[in-house]
Amino acid sequence: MMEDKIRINELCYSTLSSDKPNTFETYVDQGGYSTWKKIVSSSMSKKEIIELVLKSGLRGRGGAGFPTGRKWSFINQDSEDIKYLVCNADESEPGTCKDRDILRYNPHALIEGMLIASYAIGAEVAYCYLRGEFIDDVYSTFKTALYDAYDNKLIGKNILNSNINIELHDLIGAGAYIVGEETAMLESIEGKKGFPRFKPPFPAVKGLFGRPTIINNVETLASIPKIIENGPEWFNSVGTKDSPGFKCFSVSGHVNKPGNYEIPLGTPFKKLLDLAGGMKNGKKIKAVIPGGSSVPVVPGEIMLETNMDYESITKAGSLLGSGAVIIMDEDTNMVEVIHRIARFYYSESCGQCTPCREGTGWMYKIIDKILKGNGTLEDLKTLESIPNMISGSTICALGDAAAMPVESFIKNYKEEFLNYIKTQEEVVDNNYTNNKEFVMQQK
Amino acid sequence: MKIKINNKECSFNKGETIIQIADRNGIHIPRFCYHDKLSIAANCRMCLVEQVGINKPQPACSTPAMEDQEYFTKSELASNSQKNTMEFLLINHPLDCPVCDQGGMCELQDQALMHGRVKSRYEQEKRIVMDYKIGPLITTNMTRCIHCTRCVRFGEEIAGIKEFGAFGRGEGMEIRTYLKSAIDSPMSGNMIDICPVGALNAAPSHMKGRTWELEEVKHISSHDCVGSNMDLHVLDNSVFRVVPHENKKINEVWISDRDRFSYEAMEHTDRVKKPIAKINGRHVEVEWEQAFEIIYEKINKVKFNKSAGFVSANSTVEEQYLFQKWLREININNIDHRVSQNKFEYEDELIFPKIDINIEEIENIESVLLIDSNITYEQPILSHKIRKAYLKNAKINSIHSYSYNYNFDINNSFLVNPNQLAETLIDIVEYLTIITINDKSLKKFTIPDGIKKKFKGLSNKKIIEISNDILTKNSLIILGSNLKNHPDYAFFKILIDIISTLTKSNKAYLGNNSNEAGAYLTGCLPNKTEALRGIKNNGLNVYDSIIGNMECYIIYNLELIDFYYYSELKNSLEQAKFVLGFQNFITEEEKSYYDVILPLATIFESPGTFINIEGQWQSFVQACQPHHDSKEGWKILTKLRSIFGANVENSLDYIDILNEVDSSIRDYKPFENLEYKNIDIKNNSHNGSLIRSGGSSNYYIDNIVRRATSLNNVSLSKNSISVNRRTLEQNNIDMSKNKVLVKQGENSLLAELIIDENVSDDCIYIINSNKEHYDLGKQYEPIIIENV
Amino acid sequence: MENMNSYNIPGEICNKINKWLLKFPSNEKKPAIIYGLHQIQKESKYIQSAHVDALAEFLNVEKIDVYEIAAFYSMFELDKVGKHTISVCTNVSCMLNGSDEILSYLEKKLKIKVGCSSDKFFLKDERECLAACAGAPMMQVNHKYYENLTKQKIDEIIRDLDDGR
Ligand SMILES: Cc1cc2nc3c(=O)[nH]c(=O)nc-3n(C[C@H](O)[C@H](O)[C@H](O)COP(=O)(O)O)c2cc1C
Ligand code: SF4
Ligand code: FES
Repeated sequence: MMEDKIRINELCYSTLSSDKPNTFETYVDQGGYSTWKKIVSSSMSKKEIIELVLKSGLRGRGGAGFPTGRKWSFINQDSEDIKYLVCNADESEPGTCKDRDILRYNPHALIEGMLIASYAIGAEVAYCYLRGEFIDDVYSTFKTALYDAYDNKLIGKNILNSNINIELHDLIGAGAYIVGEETAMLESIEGKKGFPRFKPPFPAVKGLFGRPTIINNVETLASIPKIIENGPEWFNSVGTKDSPGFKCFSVSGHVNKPGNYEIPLGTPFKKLLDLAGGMKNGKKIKAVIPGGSSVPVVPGEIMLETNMDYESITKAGSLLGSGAVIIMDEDTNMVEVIHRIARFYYSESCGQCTPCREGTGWMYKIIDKILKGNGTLEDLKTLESIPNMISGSTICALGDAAAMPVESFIKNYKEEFLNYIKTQEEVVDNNYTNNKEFVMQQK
Repeated sequence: MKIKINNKECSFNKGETIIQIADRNGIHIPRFCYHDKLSIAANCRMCLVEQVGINKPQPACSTPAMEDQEYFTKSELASNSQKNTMEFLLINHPLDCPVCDQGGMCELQDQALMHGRVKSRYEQEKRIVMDYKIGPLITTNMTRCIHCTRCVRFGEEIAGIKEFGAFGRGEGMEIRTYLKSAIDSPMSGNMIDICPVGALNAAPSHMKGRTWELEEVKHISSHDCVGSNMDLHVLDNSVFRVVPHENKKINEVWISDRDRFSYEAMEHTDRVKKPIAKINGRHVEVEWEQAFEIIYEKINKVKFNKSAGFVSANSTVEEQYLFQKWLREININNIDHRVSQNKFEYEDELIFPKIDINIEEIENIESVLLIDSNITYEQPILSHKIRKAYLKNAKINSIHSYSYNYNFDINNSFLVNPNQLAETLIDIVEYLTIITINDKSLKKFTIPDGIKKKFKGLSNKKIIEISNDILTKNSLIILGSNLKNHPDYAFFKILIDIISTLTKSNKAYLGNNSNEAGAYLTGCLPNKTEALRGIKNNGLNVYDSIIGNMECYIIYNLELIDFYYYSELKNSLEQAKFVLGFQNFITEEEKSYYDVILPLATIFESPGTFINIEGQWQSFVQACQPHHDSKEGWKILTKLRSIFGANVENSLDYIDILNEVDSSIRDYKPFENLEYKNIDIKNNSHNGSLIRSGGSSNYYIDNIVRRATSLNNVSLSKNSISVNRRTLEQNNIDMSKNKVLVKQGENSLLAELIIDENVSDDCIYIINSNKEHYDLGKQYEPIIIENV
Repeated sequence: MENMNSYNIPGEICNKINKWLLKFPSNEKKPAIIYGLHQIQKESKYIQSAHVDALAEFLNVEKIDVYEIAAFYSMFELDKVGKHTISVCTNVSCMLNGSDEILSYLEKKLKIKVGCSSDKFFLKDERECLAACAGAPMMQVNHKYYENLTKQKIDEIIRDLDDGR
């Protein structure tokens, strides 16, 4: 990796260098759709494509980081069954706004990526599911791009006279974080509530309308054309062994230049912070949530020593997740932050399975009580035990997503919680008689 | 293939889940959402167990077993997970067990004792859910709901009518009906059983008794021809609640609402409490001895060949057997039970409910043809079996005079006027005769000339498709019980016999009564005695007996409105010298026709046996002592036999009777196919005019359900008539008015007009069960419609 | 949800729904429920019982299935709302950048509490992150994005809405 100059916006955001980044012309001028045309003119087999993606080491950018090539290879190519590809454009992990910018500035890369992926897994129908809130925003940009691609015969029946048929449809949601979970998304496409399905069976075996289905994130799919075009070696030339390639990071919070930055994985966090203009008002950094609000919070000092790749962040006690980097300065009230995060999961739990339905509410209510100055040590102890009761016992990962932040906030910033409880000590007598026991203990 | 659960080696088949294997091996895994008749939801997370090698607990209900895996259901990981789930479930649960109907049989309570923490750590406000009325059968207490969604899945999967949904999300999710509407599927009561907590309760028994005070008695349902098994919960010599008794071959774990709630009739004010006799023109209560004396005296005064006896097809085998035996002993041969039948031309064609396959096998049928059957409401359990077949991709076709609501989808539906039903079936016969012309196995089979004469050239496309379905698939043809009082009923039966012979398909004739087969086999017929043996002196059938103005009528457990020839019967009774009734209930109006009424114990207060549509004998014991001064039918009849001089042992008890019936008719193989005779074809349908059609409301079919208060509150039959638009236009009816006048003979009725395209052309659809309709006239007879 | 007696889906929306259905296997009708509700809500502002009934009938699905969808997804409004819907994102990134202040400024300015509606404005209680974290604080007005909000910017936006009627 080059030390001083960071390679930025070379993959999904490459069109940003142009005035009209999202047009068909811009994309084609930059060599877009050449990979697809090559594939269509049958110079590349399905197996070869999957092989290239496997070699590139691309990992899913939706949050779980599962190797994309491996996911594709789960599809049974020999079966005659109808297969589907679904693009997850439900971007709703708090802190994440990278996919919206791909849809806004480089929709054709996504379309080409979807076409290549569909072809590789043998799907003749692909859906791109956008979150409902995009309905009067990037949804139209994406649709325009889709029509352009149709007009140019790159999609549809008998693509460029190749006998290849792939239909690509746009879909729109209606507001539900949980629909970002892949099986909830399948339910939603089928016209049902977004209740995640239990696995097994996995979507690659039984997915949309009961058929084998592959679900990938927008960024994952938009990365595909260039990876195939330039080869896995090009992609591998940046990043680390386990985290090769470029990744979009949405930097938000207390920084001067918040925004999406596509940089090589493994770039030191410090550099990313510099790119984002450094801390606002010259304040000190206190904490960072490095991968969207579902991942554990990391104290600023540790983060400053960490590189932005899957392994390093795991070592720092958190997860790279969706690449949403939320930066907090020294004045941030951590109880308030976790209160907000807990409220989010409480509102967004689908309600299907017990630990998440009941646990998210319980955690939120305790944090609320603490924040209002009514909390007890006993409450804090209970709160500390709940994440563990939820983790690993739910149908989908929302349970874990709600549990991890709470656990990490208490672990790293316990004294702030205690402070709330101590202030409460002084006013305790009036309202909370059942806390007397605790007060005695404290004294 | 094998796995180990708690170190015990268990074998399994591919696709089985851990919970299924554990259940089979007697290893208990706690659960709330899992129910072996419903799809897997895996949402309660109560069944979490440890899989060796995986650090996350696995849900036993949705985890398929794999060769050589090892599981622990009580290890630290497993029991901690279960304890956690329990704690979560209880945080929003009101814990009001002392006032909950479910207390003592609550799955949540049981699990809480085993897996809960002693003291709740939850101190925040609990969720409170507002309740509203969802009809007369089920009361809700949704604050207790634990969101297992069993009731929602029951509606979608079993009942086929999704009545409950889960609305909203997260902690605010509520299980409710859409727009707070009432529940009205005919199997809805099962949701009470499958609800693992006390959120759904049986309304009639709500808050009236506690589980541990009850005695459980197995019983057989008496409102359809299936014979569902059920358990009566008895408290203080009354039925307190009815729940299903699992019978894998018949009703599985379900019962219809009718079977569940009919017991309420027991306490109805119409109950006959003591023997009643008409003395000096007034009805007075008398002692049993006195009643017997009057009967002995009066019956000895009338001519036996001018006497007739009618018995209910809902009475037990024992009662029917003794009834005909008593009458024949005193030379009364005019015996019948077919009171709702219209014509009696083909006396040898015995049309009792039967089915060629076992009820259990219906779900594997590939195609079903329904002939004018409102099966979902009339026979909920059979309808459920058809639904199962449907879910396995069976094609269901229907030929009907009204487009009924089914809990499965109809592939080809053919709406015809009841007058054209016979013609339609003949069309099918005609088509099949051509198609099967080369079938060697049918060489010896000839179609009666009378039918051949009616062939009129190739038929309608739908008819061809329907015929092809019966021909090419493993099929079942079902003749609905609605048609019982159609003048061509026997003819339909012959046509269906022919169709099934041509297509080698199975057939079923349905009946609304619990023991119609028994009534045939015990010889409650004018021309057959026990085991359907012929007799020397044939008696008169019910129709001839009624119009023959008898001197004496003996009516056993039937109300006058049960008779097709209702008004004719009333006339004859008025003129008769002696009318004797054995009744559970009597209305003031009907009382006036009787000279003596004996109080009969209901099916809940008497032991007995029913023979179901499969020909299965199912006996049950007495659940309560007879209420008031009523007596069991078998006892009254035995007593009467001895009074009239039969040689009956004094010590005779119920089991002796059962043995006697059994040995007298056991040898008869009732369900072999009877060869139909080459008969002269009469087509009785009235042609050319408007015809009256319609059935009874489900909750009206017999004297018991008629008096089950809650059931009757489900659907009130209005004074209305339904006609389709075309028919109204052709009869120049002003559709802007909401009232019309209909006339049958001299009688007329003013009723609300409902424009309903489910009714076939030239038909006036009138529900029989409304009081205001009793005196109008008969089903399938001509009718006139006029503007008011 | 309000009860309303009858509603006929306008022909134009029917056509749109039929076109939408072409995206799915021909026996699948439910996938058009979400889309259909969006179209109806766009026209009627919020979903009433007759809308649900009409859509269920049009698609030949159960009413309860349509209603479950309407009650699950947060973009469907089941109670009467004002003409313009304003959603201020209050999730972490926006909160760190002062969204709470923005929200209370709007509450005061529009004279409605969050979650409530006047004839003209509906201030939606938006808890979900709206995926514009780099432009925090942000809000959506009738689903259009407005980022890097300041009080002054809000004044302008509201003025435009007022003028635009
Ligand atoms: C609660 C929850 C929310 C999720 N939200 C999103 C999302 O908004 N966008 C997304 O791409 N993936 C989301 N995911 C991850 C998806 O389930 C899935 O892993 C991803 O779409 C797969 O694509 P990838 O392999 O390309 O990353 C979410 C997962 C969970 C459990
Ligand atoms: S973990 Fe939460 S969101 Fe996921 S299925 Fe369970 S209740 Fe629904
Ligand atoms: S019984 Fe397995 S999750 Fe409910």
